[in-house]
Amino acid sequence: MRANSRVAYLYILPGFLVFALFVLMPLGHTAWLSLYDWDGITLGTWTGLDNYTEQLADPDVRTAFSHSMVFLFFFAALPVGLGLVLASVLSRFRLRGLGFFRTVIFLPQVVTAVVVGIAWRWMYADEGTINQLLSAVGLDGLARAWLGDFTWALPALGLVGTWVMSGLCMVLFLAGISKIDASLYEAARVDGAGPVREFFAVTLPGLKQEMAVGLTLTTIAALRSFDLVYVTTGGGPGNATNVPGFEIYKLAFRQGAVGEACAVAVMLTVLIFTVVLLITRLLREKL
Amino acid sequence: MPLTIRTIAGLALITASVTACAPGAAPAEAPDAVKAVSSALPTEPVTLTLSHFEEGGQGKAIELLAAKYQQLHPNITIKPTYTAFADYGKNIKLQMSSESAPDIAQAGQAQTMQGPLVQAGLLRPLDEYAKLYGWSERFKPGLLDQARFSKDGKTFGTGELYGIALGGNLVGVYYNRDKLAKLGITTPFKDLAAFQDALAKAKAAGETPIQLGNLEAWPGNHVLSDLIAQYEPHENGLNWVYGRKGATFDSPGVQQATKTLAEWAKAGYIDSSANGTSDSDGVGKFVKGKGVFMVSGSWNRSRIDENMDGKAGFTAMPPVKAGDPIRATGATTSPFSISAKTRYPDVAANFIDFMTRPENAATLFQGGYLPVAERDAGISKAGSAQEGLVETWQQVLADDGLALYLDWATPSMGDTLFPAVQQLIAGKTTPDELISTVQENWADERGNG
Repeated sequence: MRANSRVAYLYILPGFLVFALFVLMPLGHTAWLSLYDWDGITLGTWTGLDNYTEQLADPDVRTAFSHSMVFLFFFAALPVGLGLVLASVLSRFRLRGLGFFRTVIFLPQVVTAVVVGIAWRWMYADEGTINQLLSAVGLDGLARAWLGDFTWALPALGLVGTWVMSGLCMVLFLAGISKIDASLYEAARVDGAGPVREFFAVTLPGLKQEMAVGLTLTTIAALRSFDLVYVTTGGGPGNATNVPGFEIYKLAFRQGAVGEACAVAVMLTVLIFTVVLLITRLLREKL
Repeated sequence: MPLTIRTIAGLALITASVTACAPGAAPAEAPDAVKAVSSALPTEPVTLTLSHFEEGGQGKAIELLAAKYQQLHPNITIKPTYTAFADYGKNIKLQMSSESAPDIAQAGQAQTMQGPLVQAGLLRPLDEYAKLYGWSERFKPGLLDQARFSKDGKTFGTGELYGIALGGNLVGVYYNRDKLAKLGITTPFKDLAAFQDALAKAKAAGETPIQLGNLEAWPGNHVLSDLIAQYEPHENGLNWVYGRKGATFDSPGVQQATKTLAEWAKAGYIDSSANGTSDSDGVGKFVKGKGVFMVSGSWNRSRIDENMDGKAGFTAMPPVKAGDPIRATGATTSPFSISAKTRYPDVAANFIDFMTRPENAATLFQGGYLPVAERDAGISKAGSAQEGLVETWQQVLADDGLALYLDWATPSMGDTLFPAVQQLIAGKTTPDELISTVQENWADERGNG
């Protein structure tokens, strides 16, 4: 048995080496750089944990992390909720052209984030689609340059995340529902359960694994978001849409503060790990 | 499972211990103060590489000059290589420290490119060549100072010369000729008050006085800095950008300029969608007739002229007091530097000199440059924005009045100042708050207050 497990490790070794080289080493390297004051070119100086205390004390960095929490709602909570509703509705009714709807809702997942960002930037512009729609229904008063509005820019970006992530969740949950034993639904119906009851008694428990996967993927996307902010607002107006991913970019590539950038990167990594760990723990238990 | 965790921890430890020394490299041995510089060229075949990020016509001008140089010196080949700016900035440090570093490279002023390269000892000081070729007669001091750095790469504006630029850029006021005619406004403005009157007139007529696309946050800063160039004494402004001791952003001139911008925003002189409109879309709106004026840089000139065809003009941001010399936010284009590693510094310097000789200014002008060396480089189309731009450029150059860019002051100044300008325009911050935020960054990074 013991010898067998050694052999098993041997099988893992090639994969592990690649993993170590391209994931663990850079991760360790980042953590190590975060302990230095380094501009990316000349000799760095050891500063211990100074970068961490300094960045944690920086109000801009803290705001960036608080924006991440808003993104968690828009990128993860909302799409998972919407995905559940869409999936259970679509699976109940034999819709004509179901495949078409599924494709359309999933489409945002296929498009690159840069294209998504630029398209939405135009839609949110003062003469863009959103405002045209608003004035078409007589809501001119609400029209504004959305991405330039200190209150609305962050939710506006969040909704783009919802739009992108909902399709993924829906497809995931549709697949999950099709795996649920049809006799469970029959039994529920025989017992007189309505669609809502059926959803909570049969569908939801049956989708636990898919929900863990969906939440993990969307949470990671929410917390590490960078590209959407980069192509739309650049963190503005003011710092209203700044997120940790963009802060790292600013520090490392614009300000030449590589050590500080690495410190924020390490904190972000730890945060993502913690949240994902929590999700998997919670969903392992009974719902 | 526990074993894997231990393995990972062990591996991380190994990684850390193997590389347990500070990142980066100590500065290379500074090149000996250029030994016996000479304008004599070698007779054997020589090939020099030149890295740049000049797009379109400007890049073409460099290629034309390289070809012309080779005609004059058949044994010398200059090979220009273009890299898009977005990649160039990220790679230049690696490129210049590599074994195959280009002989000549474009390196932007201040801390983003030139500073780290000087600090790492990768650029050759050019003062001896400046003497040899008489560059201080060809260029105004303000044009050379912005390419000077202290040997340790920490402070710029004084010290050794590390680059020579081909042209310049500046910020001024674009205007829509049709709208001015309708409103009865004439240019140039004799003073800032006259310009403000024009803004009020435009507003009263229901027009958008100033078009601005400020989604990227830096375009709005150019409006502020062009106002600072008027209100703040020129020397003070330069001292602040160069990070000289005792300089401050909290001065009467800057206060007045910041207050003026805040008032313009409040009075509705600036397009209310500015913060949600990209720079490029802002130019698009101006071209389509939304906006009487647009305070922007020379880099938008060709797009405006192409699309408005004689309907657009350009004039300087006027001084506070009529008759005072014209000042503008602006600088030279990114200067060309010589690698400390090149085997042929004499040839490299000779080619840089060649590019900026008066007889080649016409080539630069046709490529879209505002040449720094020669005032009458070419004739612009009558009634174009180019005409006004060239005139303004010459006025500013005549009195060495380029005020440089505020974000050069510290590596994080852009990320501090630009969002604050967005907030100022939206009325989310006061002029005093903006000034203290900015000055705090300056004092922190400069280590003096």
